[in-house]
Amino acid sequence: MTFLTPGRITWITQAVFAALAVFFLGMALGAVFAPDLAALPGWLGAPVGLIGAVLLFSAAWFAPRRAANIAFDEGYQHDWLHAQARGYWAFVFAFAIGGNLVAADILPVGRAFMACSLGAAAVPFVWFLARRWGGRG
Amino acid sequence: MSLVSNLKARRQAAGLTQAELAERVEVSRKTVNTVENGVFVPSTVLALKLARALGCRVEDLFRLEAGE
Repeated sequence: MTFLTPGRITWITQAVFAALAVFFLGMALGAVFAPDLAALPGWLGAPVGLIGAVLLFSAAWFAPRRAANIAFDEGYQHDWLHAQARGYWAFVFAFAIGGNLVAADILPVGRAFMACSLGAAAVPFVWFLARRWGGRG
Repeated sequence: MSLVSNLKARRQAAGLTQAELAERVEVSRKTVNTVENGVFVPSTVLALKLARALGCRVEDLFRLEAGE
C-alpha cells in the first residue's frame, strides 16, 4: 500500500503508543481512585494492547518494505529497546512501592496490584514518546 | 567513550538536508538528526552508508573524543 509512507507509519506508531499510554495510565489511576474497583474493566488491558499490536503489525506488513525499514530503522529500535528497559525497572519499582503501600495498609492489595501493573505498562510508551517528542533530535 | 560527529558539517557541505540524506541511506530524518546531535551512535552499517552517501570515509564523519 503506497499510502503507507515512512512518515505515515511513524504517525500510526506514535498514535498507537500514545493511546496505549493514556489508556494504561488512566486505568492505573482508576485502580487507585475508583470508588468501586469491581466496576473497573481491568480485563480491557489485554484486548487494547493486542489491538495496538495488530495495528502496528498491519502497518508494517502492508507498507512497502523500504518504507517499513525506514520507519522502524535503527534509531527507532534503539529508542524502543531503551523504553522497554525503563519499563522493566518501572515494574520493579512499582511493585516495591505498591508492596509497601499494601503492607502499610494504605492501599488494598487488589488496587495496588492493578495500579502497579497497568501503571508500569504505560512507562515504555511514555518514555518512548517523550524521547521522540522531547526535542532530543 | 564519546563519539564526535562531523556529520552535520559534511552534510551541509554536500548541500543536503537531513531529509535528503535520510532518504539516501534509508533511515528516518529523526535518526539522522540524533546522529548529528550525538544523541545516537549509529551502527557500523549506517556509518558506512552515511560515508558512502556523502562521498567520504567513516573517519571523516566520526572520531573518538581526544584522549580516548
